[in-house]
Amino acid sequence: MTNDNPHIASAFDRDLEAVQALIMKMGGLVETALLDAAEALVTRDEEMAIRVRNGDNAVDALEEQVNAECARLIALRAPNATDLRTVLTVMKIASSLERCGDYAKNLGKRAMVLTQMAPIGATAGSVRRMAKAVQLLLKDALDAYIARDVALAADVRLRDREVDQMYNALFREFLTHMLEDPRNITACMHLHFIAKNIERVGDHATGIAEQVIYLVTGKHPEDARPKADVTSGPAE
Amino acid sequence: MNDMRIVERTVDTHDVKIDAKDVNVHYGTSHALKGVSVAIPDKTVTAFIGPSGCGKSTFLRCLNRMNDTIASCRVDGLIALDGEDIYDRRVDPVQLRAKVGMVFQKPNPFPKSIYDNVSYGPKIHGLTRNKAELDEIVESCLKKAALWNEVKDRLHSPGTGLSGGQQQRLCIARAIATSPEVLLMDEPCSALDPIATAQVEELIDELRSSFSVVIVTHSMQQAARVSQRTAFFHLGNLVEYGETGQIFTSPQDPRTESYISGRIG
Amino acid sequence: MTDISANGAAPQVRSSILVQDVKMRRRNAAETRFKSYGLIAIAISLAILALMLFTIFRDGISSFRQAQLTFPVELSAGILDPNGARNPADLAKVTTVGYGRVLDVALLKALADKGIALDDPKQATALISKAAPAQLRNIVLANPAQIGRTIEVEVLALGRVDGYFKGRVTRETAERDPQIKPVQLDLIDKMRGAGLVALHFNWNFIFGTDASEQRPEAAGLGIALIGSAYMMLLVVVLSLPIGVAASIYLEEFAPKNRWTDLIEVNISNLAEVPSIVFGILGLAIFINFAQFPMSSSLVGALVLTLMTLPTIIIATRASLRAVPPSIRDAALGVGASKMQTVFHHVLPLAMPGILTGTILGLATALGETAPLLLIGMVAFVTNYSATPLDPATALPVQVYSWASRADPAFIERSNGAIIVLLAFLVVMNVVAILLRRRFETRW
Repeated sequence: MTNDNPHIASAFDRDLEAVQALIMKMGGLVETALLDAAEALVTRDEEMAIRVRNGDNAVDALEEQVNAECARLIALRAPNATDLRTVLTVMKIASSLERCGDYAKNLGKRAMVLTQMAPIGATAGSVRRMAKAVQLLLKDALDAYIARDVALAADVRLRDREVDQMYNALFREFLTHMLEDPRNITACMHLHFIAKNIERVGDHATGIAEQVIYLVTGKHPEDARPKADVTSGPAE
Repeated sequence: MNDMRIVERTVDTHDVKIDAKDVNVHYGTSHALKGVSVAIPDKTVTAFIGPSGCGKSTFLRCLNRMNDTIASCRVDGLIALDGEDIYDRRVDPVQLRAKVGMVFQKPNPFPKSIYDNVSYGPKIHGLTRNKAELDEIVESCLKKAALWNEVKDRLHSPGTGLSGGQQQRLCIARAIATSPEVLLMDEPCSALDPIATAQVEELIDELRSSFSVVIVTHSMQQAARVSQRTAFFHLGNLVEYGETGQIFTSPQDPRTESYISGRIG
Repeated sequence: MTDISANGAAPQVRSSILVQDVKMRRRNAAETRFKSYGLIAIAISLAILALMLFTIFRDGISSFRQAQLTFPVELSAGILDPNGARNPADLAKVTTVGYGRVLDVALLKALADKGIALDDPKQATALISKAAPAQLRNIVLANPAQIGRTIEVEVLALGRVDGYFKGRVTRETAERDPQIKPVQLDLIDKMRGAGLVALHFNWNFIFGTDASEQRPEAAGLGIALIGSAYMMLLVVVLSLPIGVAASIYLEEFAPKNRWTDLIEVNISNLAEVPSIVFGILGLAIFINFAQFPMSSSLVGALVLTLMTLPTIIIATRASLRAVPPSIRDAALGVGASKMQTVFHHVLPLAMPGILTGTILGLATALGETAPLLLIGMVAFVTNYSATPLDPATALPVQVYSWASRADPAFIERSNGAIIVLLAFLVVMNVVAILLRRRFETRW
């Protein structure tokens, strides 16, 4: 949070910083939840999965808090220009992170179920790699937000493509497993949803990066975001 | 900004009403306005914002030559109203002011009756032939100023007996009674309470259909609420001039940014 | 928590707002003292004013009542109209000497009727004022049909009789007085008992003409009133338009440069010039150069106008300046010209202030004596002036000239004249206040 040009009303600065600190806290929680869920999946640690599932309540509560703070800021401070964009992006990022939290929770739930089933090849490891990559993406997006770093944000947008490619690879792998043995279908479906959700978190990270670009430049990125998710596109 | 707006806010379709080019104003030795160029469109509310002493009021008062009354004031550059230079030697400022009306910061009704306040302009400019016509003008102007229903039963009681908001609307009625083409407002709501302010702002928005309105305001929120275009003045310079929504969400100049977000610039 | 505050200072005792601390008490005491000084100042000035008014009224109010002789007079046709033709031209030929004889006879007869014995008829007839025959003559000439009949008349008594009634003349002073003897005072007492002489309201004092040194009982303020009224009227007519026009030009139109500054300074200086200088100026310009008639109220008015102008200009400019600039802006903003702005908006708002300044100037002018003395308005005038070109005098000058006469009866009249002057002033102020109220209530 750069503060080389403070407001005349210092309470305004404090409010803005407080609400952004909440975002950071949310981001941290979501990142951990994501990693933990993937870890639980790999180590087949049911307890950890349960912890992840329950941990989402904190994220939801934080989002509520961010929204309330933003409403207060808008009502009391009537923010303009950068301040306005800050508040707008904070709200959007909070909502993105809340969704990400939900995905992590879903990951946890499915990991719980999957502990009861036979593992599907080495897919859990791949999922964890993907989760790791997405967590990094999310972290970079939030770092870009803190530093108001447009270059890093643009980089995050580009790197989402890699996540998409990972997802495509996993998608094919699951297909293969399901075709091999129909008994794998339940586990594979769960795993596929897990992969899809992780991919969605990546999308949200990209969304956050775009918010960073808007926050700094005042303009939304004009070029279409590079996409590599071909599974929903026309038949290959 | 893109033009895909749901709310009708056409601002770029109108002709230029006042075209100022490289206007410089000196008060004695102090340089109050430095090379200001602005094209103010017709049937639009244009807001001038900026910190105190930035020259916005000075520029406003150049537009109807109210600065002429200050002996030490010197204006250079070109200000054209519909293409005609208002500082041309042949222009009589009195005649110009009938075309470019003005509403001031403090409500300043004449200490006369409400009727006399509104009818004064038309009377001295000989806009009417008889009492009936004058009555008609008074009524229509008071209606336009959203004051008619409140005062129609006491047109002959003093204008100074009205509330602040009513007085300011009376001043607006008085200003539009000479059927001006441009209405200049110098912080018209700074002495009013929020309800009266809202009424005057609503009125300004309605007047937009008939006049080009230029408003100087210290309240950025007011500029944001009423204007379609905003000009930001700083230390005698016109820093930024553009569509109001754009100025208030993503100004291009860091000075504008600092000012409208309340930072020490 | 301890009682020691964070910076380690001695424990702070929270002071109660119910108890005043030392500083507060001192401040309150200073305030009370200051208020009492103000009250004392006001009381002193009120006391002085009251004392002044009291002495003036004590010494002057009696001049409104005058000793008058009331007795029946037989207007014998043989003396007053020897021809019997009742021809006004013939009647006018009869001098006051003739009327004096008629009065003497009538008074002695009246005394005889009342049974008042006299040692010497002169003792009684000397009590009739020397102005009385003229009074009787005016009565007769006003209505010649009365000749031949006996009418009840009321004529002025000698000034000493008046003085005796008002306590100015006593038996001690009468011993040394050539005009009256103590024995006459006894006679006056008897006559008063018989209802022949009494104090009556004295219209002649207010409206009559001045009289000579020997006849204080007949002296009146009429000519001074006319003179003062003419002058005030002319001063208003001359100085108000000139002063207001000059102020408007200087305040609203004139460029601000060295010349206007110079004029401004000079106007302020003129207001401070001693009034006698204006008298000398008036004497030189209006009488010696322009050959206006000496002692006329016109010349007096011109001099007073010169004197009043600076006051009016200064007051007018101040009240023009006090009109809020927002009103000028408003008028200019709807496209009024400079002149319309001034005459439609600024001037009406400044009017109460202008009137106040004018009335102040007029009040000074009304009380001004020195310059009028120089232009000869102190002359003894016995004819009412019909126009401002005729010789006249002024109220303050009359006060001055009466006060400088020897007979103590004139001192009483001088005080009476001050009362009339004050009344004149009050009337003028009331008119101004009414005018101002009209201007103020217009909005």
